[in-house]
Amino acid sequence: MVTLTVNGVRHEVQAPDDTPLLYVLRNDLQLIGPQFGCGLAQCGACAVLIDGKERRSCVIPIVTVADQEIITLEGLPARWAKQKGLSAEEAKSTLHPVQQAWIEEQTPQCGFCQNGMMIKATELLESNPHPTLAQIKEAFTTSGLSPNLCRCGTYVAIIDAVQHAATIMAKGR
Amino acid sequence: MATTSEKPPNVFGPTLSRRQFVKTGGALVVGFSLVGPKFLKGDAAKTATLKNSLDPTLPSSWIEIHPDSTVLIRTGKSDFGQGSPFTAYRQIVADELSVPFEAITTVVAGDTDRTPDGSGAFDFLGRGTPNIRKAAAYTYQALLDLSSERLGVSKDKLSVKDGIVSGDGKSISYGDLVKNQQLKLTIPVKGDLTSIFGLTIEGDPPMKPVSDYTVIGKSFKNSIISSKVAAKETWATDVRLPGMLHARVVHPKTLGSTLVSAGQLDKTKFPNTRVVVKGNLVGVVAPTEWETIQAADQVASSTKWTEWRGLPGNARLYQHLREEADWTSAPVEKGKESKGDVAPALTAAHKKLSATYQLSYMKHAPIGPTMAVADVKSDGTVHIYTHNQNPQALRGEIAMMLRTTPDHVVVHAYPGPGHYGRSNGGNAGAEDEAVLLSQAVGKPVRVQWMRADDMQWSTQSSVSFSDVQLALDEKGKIAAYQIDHYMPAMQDDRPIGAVLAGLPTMSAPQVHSDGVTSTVNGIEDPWVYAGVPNLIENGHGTFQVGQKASPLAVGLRDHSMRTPGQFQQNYPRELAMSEAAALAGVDALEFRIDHANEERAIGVLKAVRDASGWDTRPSPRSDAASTGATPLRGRGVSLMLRSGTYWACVCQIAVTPSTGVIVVEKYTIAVDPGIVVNPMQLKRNVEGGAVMGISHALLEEVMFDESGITQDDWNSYPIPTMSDIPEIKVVLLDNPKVGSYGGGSEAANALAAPAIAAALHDSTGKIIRRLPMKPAYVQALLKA
Repeated sequence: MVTLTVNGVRHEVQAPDDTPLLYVLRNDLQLIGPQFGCGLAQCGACAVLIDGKERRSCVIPIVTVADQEIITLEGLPARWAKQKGLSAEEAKSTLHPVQQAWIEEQTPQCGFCQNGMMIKATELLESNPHPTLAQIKEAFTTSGLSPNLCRCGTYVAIIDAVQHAATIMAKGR
Repeated sequence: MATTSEKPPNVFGPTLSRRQFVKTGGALVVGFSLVGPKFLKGDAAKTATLKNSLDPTLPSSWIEIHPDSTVLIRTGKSDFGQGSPFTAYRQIVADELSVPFEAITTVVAGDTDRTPDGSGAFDFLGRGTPNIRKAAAYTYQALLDLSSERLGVSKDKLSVKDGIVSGDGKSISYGDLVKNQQLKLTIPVKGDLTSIFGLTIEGDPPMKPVSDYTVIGKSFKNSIISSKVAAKETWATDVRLPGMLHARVVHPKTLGSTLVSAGQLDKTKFPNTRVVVKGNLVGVVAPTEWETIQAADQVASSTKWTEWRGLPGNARLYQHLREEADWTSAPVEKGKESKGDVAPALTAAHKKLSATYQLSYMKHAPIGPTMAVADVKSDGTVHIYTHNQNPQALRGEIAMMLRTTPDHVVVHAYPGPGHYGRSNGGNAGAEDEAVLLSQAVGKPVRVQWMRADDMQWSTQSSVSFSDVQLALDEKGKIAAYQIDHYMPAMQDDRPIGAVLAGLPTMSAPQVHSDGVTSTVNGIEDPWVYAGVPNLIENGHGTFQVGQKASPLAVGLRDHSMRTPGQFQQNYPRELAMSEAAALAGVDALEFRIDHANEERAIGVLKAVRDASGWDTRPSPRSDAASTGATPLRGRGVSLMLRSGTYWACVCQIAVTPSTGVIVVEKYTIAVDPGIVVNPMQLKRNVEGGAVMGISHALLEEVMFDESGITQDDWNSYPIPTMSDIPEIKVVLLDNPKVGSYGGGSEAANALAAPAIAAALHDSTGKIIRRLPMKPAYVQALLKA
C-alpha cells in the first residue's frame, strides 16, 4: 500500500509499488485530467506537477512519489486560489488563469494533449511570470523529458494562451 | 424520445457536459411530436428508418424546442476538435430559426441511439447545406404554419425575432407555441444510415437569406473547450463500467503472420489474468490495467507466429509500385475537366516538363492510441463506448461481425484524440476487439492500444506517385497538361480484430463500382486553371500493398486522412505549376493568376501575395546555390479548391545545403470559404492544419521492412514540436456574395508541401519531387 497526496488529499492506494502513477490517478482516484498518450514519456499528455515540476505520470512508479505533492489538472484552480489567498467561495468559481486563457484563446482542437500543455504552462509561469516567445518555445520543447507534442498543431494557440495567462496572472485574478 | 438526462450507467466523473453544457433551467424536455401528411412518400424514408432509434422523418429527432424556448439539436457527426457541432451548427440553426445562439442549449452528437442521421466527422458544413440546416429550415416553416393558425394571421405577415413570432400586433414565443401541440410535418430523408455517408435530408425548404444572418459570422466560443479545459468532460478514456476488465491485444508479429501458439501465462505472477484466443486474435484480460499490461508483455514474448516477408520494404516501394503493382484491373478514372487534345500539343511544345512526384505513406498518429469499452450483454445486445468518427458505420460493422442486425448494437460517442480521417469509415482499431473480448469473458472489457499497436496495426494514409507531362507555348503559357495519378486503395474499413478472428467483415478493397472501398482512384483535386486549353487528368488505382500476399489479407492497410486523395493529387499538380513557371521564366504566383479564370482563385492568390510580402520575380532566385553551410532563403506558393473553399499558401524557408535541413520561417495562408461562419474557430483550425502540413512536408514517412512497420513511438515517427513552427499568418476572406459557406477544417494541411518544395527550388535551383523532404533526401538531392 502506498500513500499519495494528490491535490491536497491523502489517499491510501491498494496497488503494487511499481504501478505507474497515471493508472492510479485515472483508475483508482478518478482523476481524469492526465491522459494516456504514449506510456513512454515522449508526449506529455499524462503530465502532472510533482513538487511544482512538470513530470510524466505514465513512467513514474507510485512508490517513488509517496512523500511528494502531486497536482493534476483538477487541482490547478485550488492551487491558484491558495496562491492568491482567495476565499473558499471565490475559489469554487475560479479556474486557474492558465485554464481561463486556454478558453479565452480557444486553444484546444481535440484537446487530448492539452492537460500536459496546461501543466507545462503552469510550471513555466510560476517560475517565469513574463516569458519571452523563445522561453515559451524552450519550455514546451526542451525543458521536459520530451517535447510536449500536439498532433492537431495547436502550438500557435498555446503560445497565445501562455501569453494571455501571464497577463491574467499579473493582474492577480 | 431521448432526453438530456440519459447517460450510461456508472460512468464516473462529472456530468456529460457536452450534452448539457448550458443548464436548461429545470425546464421539462418535452419535444413536440409531429404527425400528418408527408412531404415525401415512398420507400426511401421507410428503409432509412429501419435501423434508427430515432425516426429521422420526425423534426423532433433533429431539433427539439422546449416550453422555455430553449433548443436542443442532434447530429450524427462526432466532434473531433473542429468544434463545428458546438459552434457552426448552433450558429446555423440559430439563424434558420431566428433564435439567439444561446437558446441552443444542448447539442447531442454521435450517439447512435440519440441522433438521427449517421455519417462521419468530415465535411461538417455540407457544402453550405448540412442536414441540421435543412432540419432547421423545415422546422421554421412548421413553426410559422402553427403560428399562423394560433394567431389567426396569415403566414406572409409573420416575422420572427429571438424566438418570438409576431404579426398584426400579435405575438407568441416558440416555447408557448409548441406546448401540447402537434405540428404537421415529415422530414424527407434518403440514404443508408450505417454507410459512411449516413442519411441526407431531401427536399428544398426555404432558407434564411444570407442578408438576414445575425449569428453566422461571429466568433462564438466552442463550449466543449471549456469543459475539457476544466477537466469536467467525460472522455472515452474515462468510461468505466461495473465489473469492467482491462485488456490488451497481442497483435501478430508481422502484417501477414498467423498464430502458431499463444504464449503461456505465468499464473503465479498474474493470478487474475486470462488469455483469450479467437483465430489470430490474442487478447489478455485482467481486472487491473497494470496487471494487464505486464501480463500482455509476458504473453507476447512467448507467443509464436509464422514468419512473413511479403512487403517490398521502403527501399523498393516505388519500384514495386511502378513495376509490380496491378494498375490494369481497376478502370482508369478520367477527370471531368479533361478537355482538348493533349498529345499533339505536347509534341508541338516550345518547352516541356516531364516529371514524376512521390508522396509517402503517413500515419494519422492520434496523440492518444485508440481504445474502446464494449459490453456484450447476455441477450446479445452490444454497447460500445468509444471515440469514433462514424458511430453508425461502426454499428453496422460490429453487427456484421457478430452476424446480427444493427438494432442490437448501440455506440456511445465520447470525446477523444483527433483521428484525422482514420475512423471516418467506422472503426479506429480497438472497438471490435473490445466486443470480441467482452463476448468471450461475459463482462464489459476496455481495450487500450499501446503506442506501438497504434503505429504498427492501424491504417495509414496512402502512398502515391504521379507522372506529369506539360507543354509551354512560345508565350510561356501552358499549352497542354497531362497528369497521371497512381495510388493504392485508400479506404480499408475492415475492423482489424474481426479480420484477425476470421469473422465477417466488408471485403478488402477490390474492383467494384460502389465508391469508397474500391481500388478505383478517382480525381479528387478540382482543376482550377481554366486557362489551360488541353488537359488530361487520369486516376490509376490498385490494391493495397501486401493485401493479396498477406495470409491475413492485411498488408499495409490504407485509410483516408485529412484532404484524402486530394493531397496526393494537389502536391504534384502544384509543384509542377511552380516548375512550369520557372521553365517559362515568370513569377510562380502571377503564372497561376494568368492560368486561373476563377475570380475567387485569383482573390486568394492576390491576398496571400500581399499578406506574405511576396517579391514578384521568377524562380530560382538569382543567387540560388546548392552548397555551403549558410542558410539560403526562398519562397513558394500553392493553390487548392476544396469543399467550396479556395486556399492559397506561401511558405518562406531557410535551407542549409550542407545539412539538408529545411526550416519554414513564415507560413501565410489565405482562405475564401464564401461566408465565414465563425472566424475564431476557422482561424484556429487553419493554424492547426498548417502545422500538420509542415509535418507532412518535412517529417512524415512510414518506414517498413518486408514484414511490417518498423516505427513504434514518437521518436521513430516524429511530428513537429513547438520550436519547429514558423510565424503563421492566416488571412480570412469573408465573401458573403458567394451565398454559402465552404469547409475549413481540412486542406490547410495539404498546402505546405508543394509550397515548401517550390521554395527549396527557389533557394537552391534544384527540385525535389518526393515527400517528405527529410534532411537526408534534401542533402542527397543537392549533392547530385
